[in-house]
Order: sequence, then structure tokens, then C-alpha cells
Amino acid sequence: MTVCVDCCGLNGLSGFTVGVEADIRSGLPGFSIVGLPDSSVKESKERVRLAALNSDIMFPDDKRIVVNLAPTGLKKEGPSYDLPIILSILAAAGAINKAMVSDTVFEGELSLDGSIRPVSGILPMALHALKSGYKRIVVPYENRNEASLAEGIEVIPIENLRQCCDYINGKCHIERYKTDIESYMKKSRSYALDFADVKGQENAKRALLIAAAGMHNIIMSGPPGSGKTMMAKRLPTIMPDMTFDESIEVTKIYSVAGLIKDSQALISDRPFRSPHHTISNVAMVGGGRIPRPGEVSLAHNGVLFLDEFPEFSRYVLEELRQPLEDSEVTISRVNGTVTYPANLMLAASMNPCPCGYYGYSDKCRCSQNLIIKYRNKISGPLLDRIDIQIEAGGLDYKSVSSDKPGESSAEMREKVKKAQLVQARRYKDEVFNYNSGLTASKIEKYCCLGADEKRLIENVFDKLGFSARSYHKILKVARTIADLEERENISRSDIAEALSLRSFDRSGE
Amino acid sequence: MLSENEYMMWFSALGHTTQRKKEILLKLFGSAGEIFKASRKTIEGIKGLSEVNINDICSGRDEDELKKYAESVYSDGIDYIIKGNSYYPPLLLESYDPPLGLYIRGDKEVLLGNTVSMVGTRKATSYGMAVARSLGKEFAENGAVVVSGMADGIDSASHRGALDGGGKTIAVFGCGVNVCYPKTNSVLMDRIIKDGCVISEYPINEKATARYFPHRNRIIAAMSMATVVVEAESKGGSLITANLALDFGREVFAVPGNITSRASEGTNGLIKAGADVLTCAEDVFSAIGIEKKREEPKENKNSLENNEKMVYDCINSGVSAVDEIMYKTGFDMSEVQLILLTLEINGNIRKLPGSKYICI
Repeated sequence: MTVCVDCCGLNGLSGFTVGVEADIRSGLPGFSIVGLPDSSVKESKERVRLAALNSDIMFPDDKRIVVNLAPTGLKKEGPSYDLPIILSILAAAGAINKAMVSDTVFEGELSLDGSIRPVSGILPMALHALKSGYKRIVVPYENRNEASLAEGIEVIPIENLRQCCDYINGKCHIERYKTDIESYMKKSRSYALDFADVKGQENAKRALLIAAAGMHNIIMSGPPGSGKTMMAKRLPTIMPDMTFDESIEVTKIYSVAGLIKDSQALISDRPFRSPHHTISNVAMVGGGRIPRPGEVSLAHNGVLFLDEFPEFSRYVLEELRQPLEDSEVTISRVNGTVTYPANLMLAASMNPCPCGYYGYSDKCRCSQNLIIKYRNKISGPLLDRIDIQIEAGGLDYKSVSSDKPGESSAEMREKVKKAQLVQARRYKDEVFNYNSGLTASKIEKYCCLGADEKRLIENVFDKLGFSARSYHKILKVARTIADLEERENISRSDIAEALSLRSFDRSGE
Repeated sequence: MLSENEYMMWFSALGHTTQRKKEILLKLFGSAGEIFKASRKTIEGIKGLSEVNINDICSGRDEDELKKYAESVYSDGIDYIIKGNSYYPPLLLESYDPPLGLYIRGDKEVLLGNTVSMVGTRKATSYGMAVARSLGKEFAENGAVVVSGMADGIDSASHRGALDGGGKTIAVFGCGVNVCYPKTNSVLMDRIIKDGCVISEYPINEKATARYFPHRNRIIAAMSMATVVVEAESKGGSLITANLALDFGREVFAVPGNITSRASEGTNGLIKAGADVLTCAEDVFSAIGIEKKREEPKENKNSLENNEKMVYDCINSGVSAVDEIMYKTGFDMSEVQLILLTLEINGNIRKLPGSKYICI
């Protein structure tokens, strides 16, 4: 007599239902698991047996046990199958009430003493169970908050195997767990950082404001100690709060990556990721034998900050091109293809030359060749995806020590919100929401210029040696600046400012 | 039929015979053509020639080869002039060991202009680059021809300055005139050929070699009455050029720099040793025999609008960063940027690396 206990497997961020069935019959004693289990699932044999024995639960040690994971064509990995496996065996052995396991999804890793450990990926599993029409999900106690973010499914937190069996057999009642989503959303904005701490650097601050308003990628070039990192770290504080749906998306990614703490189950602050420049390309875009999300996905809906941009390996940087273009990463491996979202804002920082002081101090002794070589580490196509390029100047003592407080993050955030509202209204019929998403043909449509403005741009291209490829980017950024001022049309000063945000475009001539 | 020009191409390219010996041979035979045609015996009979010299002269005398080479020179639009040609720079002729001939790409006329040489380190600071560029421009605007070596750093900035000023400029190469060295300057090289010329004493296709450069410097030093050293380290080619210029009896000007700046050690040292201090372009004008053009009152400076004037004055008083301009004037960012852009388009100011501005 076989019984099917349901659980969820994960492929990227989407779940699939796995039916775990067990068969017990007399014969040579043995225990095998079939249905493409990977090694962590195969190992569960030992965990499952000892957990049962240590919980004083009868385990049919003397029988021949076969456990099948269906559908058998998909690879199963991870320890979350422990609980459904033991339950299917117990159900087949008649130790638990078969009727009670239907309509329910079970997830959990067993430890040898029978207690149940948390697993990663609970949120996408719960969402999948909800979508597939299950009534309840039994989860490890420490995953309860995360699971209950999936509103509409009963979340039953359990602490050990004994308790689980008792619950199924109706010997004890476990209250459905509900979490206070409101409080998570409110708990956000707990940023310890504020733009008011940044003294001076008005042009860089303004550039970051514009970048955040139009979700433009930005690169800052400046000497060491000019505050590039300090400012970049404050970028999330001026971006509008994430909506609940955005938070769920981000939480799913973090859940799959195993980065969720149960005390703050919902990621409500915009992610800020700053990987070190020695990062591998797999860690950056995601991958591995079983594809995991990389830094670009972990920065989804937030900021990916790459300090010392040219120091990253060329290979890693080039891999950024596709996610920056498509806002998602597709990872293809033998085991299947996975797509993770990667809608991020890239903030990068670099020094103007290898020694760091070119243009800022007579200290710099780098030859032109060396400087060109250093800058060429960032390829043209990659630079093409970065709308804003600024030079963050060196700081003098006067502005650092000044008492005049800088503009605070809250004030800046309000401006960003307003500008994004303008964009949302304008692009309500489009697939993109921000100016950064404008393509060449859409720019013609949304960035109209008056005669004066056209003349200005012509003059600039004529006299100041701008490269023609930057034309559209200048318009995009000018559009955002106009949106910040809530102006319908792009004015000359918008263009002038946008031009000042394209400092890499000036040819050396 | 080959002419003396082509024979000279061959003769000057001989690598194992010194310039002095070549001069003596020319005096003995009267022309390079005669040497080409002379029998090995005649050559062997000349006192003072070593085995190496004799082989050098006698081994590669192939009329067809030479013809082919000369054709490839001319077909590339390259000129070759020898001493006695009316375009041969007169000042160069006055120096000792002037090149036997010069390959020229571009406009020959500029060789006869009022030339001023500008040299400096390749590893220039932004100060040096800015000074070189604005000096080059001012020289060009007043009709002088800027001579330099098209190396990285000061040399390139000087050429660019001259071209900015709508003037002429000459680049003296330490390689063939059809070889771009450094490669990064290929755009600049095209501009120089269009608005001036590139000259070299080395055969075409000759690669740049370290030992050619000091030799090339003698041409730069000799070609003009004044040599301006913009930035130089305590050792290096720029100082060699300056010393050669002094040997030739030319005037040497040095641009003073910070005493803390390594790139100005050489120039400050020159000043200490008695070189003329250059603080503005006019210092050089009398030395090279030109007069400052009567300056037409810069109309755009007067026609600056009020707020443009404020920003301009700000920059003129040494406030160069955008932040500081904002604080000083009280304008907001987009206003300042528009004003800066307008001033830049009108040619009143220039942007430097690091988002700084200077008045022109």
C-alpha cells in the first residue's frame, strides 16, 4: 500500500510539486530512494531512520522500503525532502493517519534527534503550494515567518518529528501561524546612513539623485578619499520604498539563496550589494551545477555597487552586459535553464588613473598610456549601458568641516518619488517604468527638443568633441532632470546638466 | 634616371657610417650619386674608412632596389629634401651636423615659418598639459609655428594647442614619417599632416628606437630660435634638447612649476642655471622675431551676461571646481552647468580632468 506525501522542489524561483511515495513490504531489509535524488537527498536515508528511532517512532527497519520522488524526470536536491520521506514511510507503515496528509505540503530537514531544521527557499515553495491549491503547508518552526508571507495558505510550524506525527494523528493541535506583514513593511527605513552626512560633493550628490530618479546606472570617477563609496552606500536611502510585491520578489531570491533571517523574513529595504572585486563570474551573475542566484539577482530592485570597477576581472564585467540590458539573468546548465530577475541599478566607482590622482593633484605621475590602458579595462559596450558618468572631485578641509548640513536622504527621496511618479504616468502604456528604459525610438517620442535646445546640442557636438554615441544618453538623462523639476519639456539647462554627467564622453583631443 | 635626391636617401640611411664621415665623403666626391657609382676600389682607397664603413657603402648599392624604394616614398605623398633645397629649414642648416636630407609629410611651407620649439616630459601633470596647450595655442594665434616631437604628454599637448589656435605645427619624428609613434596619437598625426607637417631624417617604415630620440632632439633644438621647456624631470630628453639648443646658441625658456612637483624639477633647475623664465607667451615673441598681434578686444568677454560674468570671474579668481562655483555664486547646479557650457562653447573657459575649469 503506497501513500503519497506532497512537497515542493525548486527550479530557480519557481516551485514544482513533488509527490513522495513509499512502499514497504517483506523481503530482504533495505532502503532505497529513487526518482533522481541528488546526493543530499540520498543521504536522507540515514537521517530519516535515526530521527525516527530517536523520536521513539516505529521505523520499519526489518522491511524492504522503496521511496519514489515523482515526477521522476526532475532532479531533486536539498535536505527539504527529509520530512516528506519519513512521513510517506510512516503513512505506508500505518503509523500516521493517511487522510490527514492530503491537501498539505510538507517541508523540513531532519536532524538525528528528530528536531526539524529550517530550509532555504520556503517562500517560493509556499507560494507554489498556494497557487497549486493546497490548503496548508507544514514548515520548520524557524521558517514560519517567511512561509506566512504567502497570504492565503495555512502555515503550520513544527519543531520536531514527534510533534508532527501527533499533529497529523490529531493528538495535538497546532495553531495556524500568521505573521504581521504590516510591521515588516513599517520596519523598513531603518537605514543608519543618511546623505546629510555627506559634506560638499554637491555635483556628485546631485548626480546620484538624478540616477535614482531615472534608475540610471552611474559610474563615479574620483581620487581616493573623495567619498565615492560613502555616497554610493547611501543610494538606497533615497530610493522610494519597495512595494509589497517588489519585496516578495526580492525575498524569494534571498530565500532561495538561503539568506533570510526569520526575524526579518520580509526583505523590505532595498538591497545594496557590494561584492569585492575578486568575485568570480558565477558569483556575480549566478550559476553553479544547480544554478543559484548571483549578486546581480541579489541586487534585484536595489543597487549593485562595484567599487574599484576596473579591478574586476574583464570576464566578470562583460557578463554584466546581458543582465543590465534585459533586467534578468538566464543561466543554462546541463540540469536545466533557470531565469532569475536582475532589475538593478548599477553604481560603480573608479579612480581616474592607476595612482588615483590624475587631474586632482600633481602627485600623479601616470603616463597617458597607462591612464588610457586603465580606463580601457571597462569596455565600450559596458560603458554604453551606464548613462551617468561623473567625476567626484577631491575634498578640501573647508567643506568637510563645514557645519552646513547637506541635503538629507528624506528630502532627496521625496524628489525621487515625485520624479518617478511623473515617469510612471508618462509610461503607463509602455513596458518600462523609468527613463533608463527608453530605447532610441522611444526617445524620439518622449524627449522632444525645441529649436533652442537643438541648437545647443549641435553646438556642443561641434565644439566640445562629444562622441555621437552619447546623444541618446544625454537626452535620457536630460529627460530625468526635467522630470525632477516636473517640467513637461526638456530645457537648455537640463541638457547642460546632462552633458556634465557624461564626463567620459569628452574625447582627449 | 635617379637624381641626387634618391641617392641621398640611400646615402643618409647607411647605418654603419658616422655623420662626420659621410660629410667628408660628400666633400670628396661632390655628391651622393658619385659615391653610389664609385667602384669598390676607389672607396677602399680612401683613408680613414674602416672595413665596416666600406662594406656598409659597397654592399647595398642596387639601383633597382633604390628606385623601388624611392617610388614607394613618393607614392605615399612623402617629399624628400636635401641641403640646398629652398625648403630646407635655414636654422637647421646653421647647426652642426644637420641631417643630410629630410622626409616630409604635409605642407613644406611651414618649414620656413617663425618656429618655436616646445618640449617636455611624457609624464606630464595636468598643469603642464594645460600650460602646453594654452601656450601652443597662443603661439599659433600669433603666427608662430610650433615644433615638437609628438610624444605623449607635453609634446602632444603643444601640437594640439597650436592646432586649436588655428596655426601650423611641425612634428619631428624619431622614426619613419609614415610610422605613428606612439600609436595612440594617430588622430593627432593626421591633423598635423593636414595643418603642418611631419618630418624625419630616418627612412620610411623605420621603427621608433630609443637611440633615435636624442638624435631627433637636435633637430627640434636647431630648428627654432627659441626652445620652451614646459615640464621636465631632473633627467630626460627635454633637458637634452634644452642643452642642445644652448649649444646652438638658441634661447631656452623654462616654465616655472611647483618646487614640490617632480615634473618641474628639470624646468626649475634650468631657471636656477640661468634659463629665461616664461610666464606668458609674449616672453618668447621677440626671440623668434614675431610681434604680438594687436588684440582685438574680445567681444564675447564684454558681451557676457551678468551671471556668466559672475561665473567667469569666479573661475578667473582660481575657483575651479563646480561645487565651489555653486557656493560662491549661489546658483543651483543646473544653472551653473548651463553657464559653464555656454562659456565653454564660446571658448571662454576650458574643462580640465576632474571637473575643473580654467579661463582661456
